[in-house]
Amino acid sequence: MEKLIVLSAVSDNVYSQKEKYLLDHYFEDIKKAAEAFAAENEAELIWLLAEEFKTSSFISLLDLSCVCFGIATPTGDNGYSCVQQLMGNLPRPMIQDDFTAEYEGKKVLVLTVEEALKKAEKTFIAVTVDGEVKEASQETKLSELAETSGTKAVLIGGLKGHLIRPEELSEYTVEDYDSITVIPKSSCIVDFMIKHINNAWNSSCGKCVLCREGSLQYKTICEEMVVGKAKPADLELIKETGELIKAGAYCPYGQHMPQPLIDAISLFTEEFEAHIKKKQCPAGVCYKKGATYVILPDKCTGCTDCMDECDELAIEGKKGFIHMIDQDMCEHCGKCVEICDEEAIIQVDGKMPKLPKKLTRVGKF
Amino acid sequence: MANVNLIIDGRKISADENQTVLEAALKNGIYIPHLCYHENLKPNGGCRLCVVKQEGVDGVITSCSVKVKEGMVINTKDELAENIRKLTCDFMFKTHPSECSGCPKYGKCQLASISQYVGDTGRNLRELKIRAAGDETNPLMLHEMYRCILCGRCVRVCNELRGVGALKFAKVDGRMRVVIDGNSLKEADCRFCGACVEVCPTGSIRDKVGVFREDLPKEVAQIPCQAECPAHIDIPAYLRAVKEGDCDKAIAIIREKVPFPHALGLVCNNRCEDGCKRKGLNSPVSIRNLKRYAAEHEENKFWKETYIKTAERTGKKVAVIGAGACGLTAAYYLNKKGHDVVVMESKKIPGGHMTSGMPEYRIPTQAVLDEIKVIEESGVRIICNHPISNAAELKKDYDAVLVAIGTSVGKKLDYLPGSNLPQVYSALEVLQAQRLGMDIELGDTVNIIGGGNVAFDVAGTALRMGKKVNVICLEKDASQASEEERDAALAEGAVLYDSHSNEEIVGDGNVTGLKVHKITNFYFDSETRALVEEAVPDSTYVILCDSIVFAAGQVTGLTETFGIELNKFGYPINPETGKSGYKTSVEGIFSAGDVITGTKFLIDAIAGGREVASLMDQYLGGDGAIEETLTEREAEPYIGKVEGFADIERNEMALREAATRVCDFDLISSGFTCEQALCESGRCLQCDLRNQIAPQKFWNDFVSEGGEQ
Repeated sequence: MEKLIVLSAVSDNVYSQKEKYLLDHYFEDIKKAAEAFAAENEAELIWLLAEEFKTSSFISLLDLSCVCFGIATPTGDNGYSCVQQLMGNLPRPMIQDDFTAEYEGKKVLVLTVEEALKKAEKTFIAVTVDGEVKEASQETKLSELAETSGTKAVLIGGLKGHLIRPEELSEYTVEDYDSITVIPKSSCIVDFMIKHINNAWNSSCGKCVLCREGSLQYKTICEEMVVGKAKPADLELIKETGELIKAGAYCPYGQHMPQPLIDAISLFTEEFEAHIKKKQCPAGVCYKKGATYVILPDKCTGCTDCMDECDELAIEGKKGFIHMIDQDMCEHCGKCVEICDEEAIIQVDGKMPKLPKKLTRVGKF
Repeated sequence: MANVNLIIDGRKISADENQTVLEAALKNGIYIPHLCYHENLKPNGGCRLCVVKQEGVDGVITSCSVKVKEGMVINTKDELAENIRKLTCDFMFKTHPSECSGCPKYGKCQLASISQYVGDTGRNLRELKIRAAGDETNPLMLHEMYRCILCGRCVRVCNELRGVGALKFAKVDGRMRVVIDGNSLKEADCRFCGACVEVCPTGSIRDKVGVFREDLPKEVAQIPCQAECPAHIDIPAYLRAVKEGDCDKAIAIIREKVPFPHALGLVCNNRCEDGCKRKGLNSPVSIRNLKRYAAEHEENKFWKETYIKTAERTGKKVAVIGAGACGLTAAYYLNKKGHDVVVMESKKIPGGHMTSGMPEYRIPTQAVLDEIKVIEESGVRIICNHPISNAAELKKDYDAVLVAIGTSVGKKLDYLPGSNLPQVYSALEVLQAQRLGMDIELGDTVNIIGGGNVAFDVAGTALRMGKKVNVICLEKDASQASEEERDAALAEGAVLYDSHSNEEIVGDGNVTGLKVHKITNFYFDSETRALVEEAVPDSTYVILCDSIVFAAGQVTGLTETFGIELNKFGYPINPETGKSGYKTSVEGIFSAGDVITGTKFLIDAIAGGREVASLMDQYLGGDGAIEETLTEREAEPYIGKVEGFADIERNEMALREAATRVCDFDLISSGFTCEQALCESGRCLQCDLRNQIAPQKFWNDFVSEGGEQ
């Protein structure tokens, strides 16, 4: 069977910038090594690059007929996942001992950017420290790379990693974790984890139930923590289900997905509980009084668009009647403002305009 | 293929080394819940239900994608595995509608069955229902993706098994969904094979109501053309053979059910096309014309050797009265079963209506005689010019007798004044005279009374005999006839007087005209069957003519002297039921075809011949099994994408110019061209492929099946 080498530069890039860095700085080495590897294997070579590289300068040095643009994914090193991208589908991994990925009748071998660079005898590891890429040797301790005194916590290894206390950083080396994200003291851990788990959910390819639905459940539950809807038992729920997802998810990404959240809950239990039980944010980030949205009675045409859009069912009204926002239920997401063609929904500070108290026909207020 | 030994749940099991742990367990009656796994698809591993514990391996393994190995020890009821399974089930149910009873798949849902088995943990997870509206805008199938639990079987079957790729995964508002790859199934070049419906475990993708009959078993109903055909010809299989350019194979497949492929290809009333699922897309596949194409493009007739081979002779003697389609079909199968069969025909050639009741330009005598010759080659003896006056007398010399004389006497409406004039004929008299070369005095102008297909058969025949032709009928636009036949005759010069009622045949010794008046509406009284009409006042006039032909139906012409009990209309009756049936009042005398059903279609006569042959074989001590296989079937499931598939228009045979064809009795069309036949056979949706897909099973099916091991 003929072979196809896919040089894959579509790995997840939420916390790590290494692929862009390596391609920007070592493009010639990578290209040479990849071509040599292809020749050695008597294989064709195709470049699978993340969309965001379209504007990179190295693109001009590539024969575009051998380039396919795809989306960044935690399964960018999986042969089947790459084949799906070449076919224009969403990436989905296939992880079986004897599975061979095939594309157009050719056996597919994946070569990541780092592997290619290793073949070019560059032995450093590119570590992303808060968005900045540094070159380090395998044994370098993570504590040597980031100034973490006076910080709250550190996320190492990004979506597939761990959340640790800063003082633990010296126990890890770059061989295991190639990204470090420092969480400053002033941050709220719940707020940070909401963003993190949103990224985790977005990065999930959706193939496996545990990763796909687990990340969505976590995203939903974490978001509820900052609006006073979450329950104290939710912390235990996350930990308990998290352990099952770690054991049962299909691919390594899914198996690692719950860990940072479990770590955060274990390390900062009190901070989570303050959000859930006391509806308070110790860091003063969450529970800020949200903006008040109102529907202007003279502009509302009673079209029901905003009612349909509102996830909280906080908008009361019916066709031809002036709609009203229930301020107790409103989550201040602002989606209604975007959907309203009449610009009838505004944010108010201080003085409230005169609003109807019960359903009133459009034009009768 | 080596076997390995392993232990699952304490049971020693020997399994093929190519099997997965899941397959080995299921085969041995050990149920492991699974959802994304499907027998016809590659392992996927996404649903996480089939996880099990393997001794010596950390965590759990995915049983659907791990092959069995020698010495493996598997525990399917491991606590961790069961907890993972419950969680995955919990997660899926949070996205799925919670109310089952309103779902059309209620009771047949694999998800419900699994949740029943796995159980609910009552975890306080969030309800995350999918916000997707139902979509009924596509033909044949509907999508209610808010029920979808993303097992991905539909996407995989469409890609892996079919090679079509009309469905794909996409993220919609951040959530994974199964979507159509385009604005509609048509745009996505869907082949409408229904595989996605077949594999969907929930009610997310379904056949629209009314696409398939619900009164038949699923696997029969899902091939509607074959279900509608009275002889149940394997239509998708022979269309596939035509598509592959193998007309001999196509004919072999057709001959497994009927001995007259060519005749049917010419004149069948193609009820198969009424069932054709493709009519839900644009128009049905032109099945009959493809049958004709196959019959006219045979080369080696490889089927023949098997076809004319018969069973060991039983020594039983059978007489068949009437060498029409029914009698000859029954004769073929009875001879095949080893009985000695003689067919007795009153006319000078065999074929019944095929050679004397329909016009030559629709079904040439030679084509029919060629097909009858094959039946004779198989050992059936046909004696022509041999009328039988008494079936009961004949029975004395035979072990069984079949009365298959059809309806061979044309009706004349005696109540119409003037109907006793010499130039008044029945349609059958005209058609038979022309086909069998007998004289008939029609004059220059023929008025045909009647508006069915037979009226237009007579019209076409008379036109070809050089006559002027008027067709007079009650129905507006002669709506009883097929448009195809009506329009062909009108194009050839027949003049239609529709919405006309008759008063009397005018003539003094010889017919000179037909007195008619116009009507606006009519019906037949439900009790007396008498005609009730709303006449247009003062619209009476005379349509001049030299002869009158009644195309008003046919009767059996049987009388009491035939030796079997008849009803008042002359049809044999079975005294057990009081109705016409395969059995008659005399033991060993059977009846079938038009003589019991009244005038029907060729395919009905053949189907009747098959059924009565089976019954008679049993009467004669046989097993009644007449099914035969003349060729192997290979249906490629990987049908691939065809651009614009849904919009490929139905091919129509080119007709010869009306002015030319009316000058002779040759066929009015030379049939499909090769290109047309390939294109038209390619329009088939191949509904039969769906039956290749393993049926959906539930946990109790596996457990009960395991008992056999």
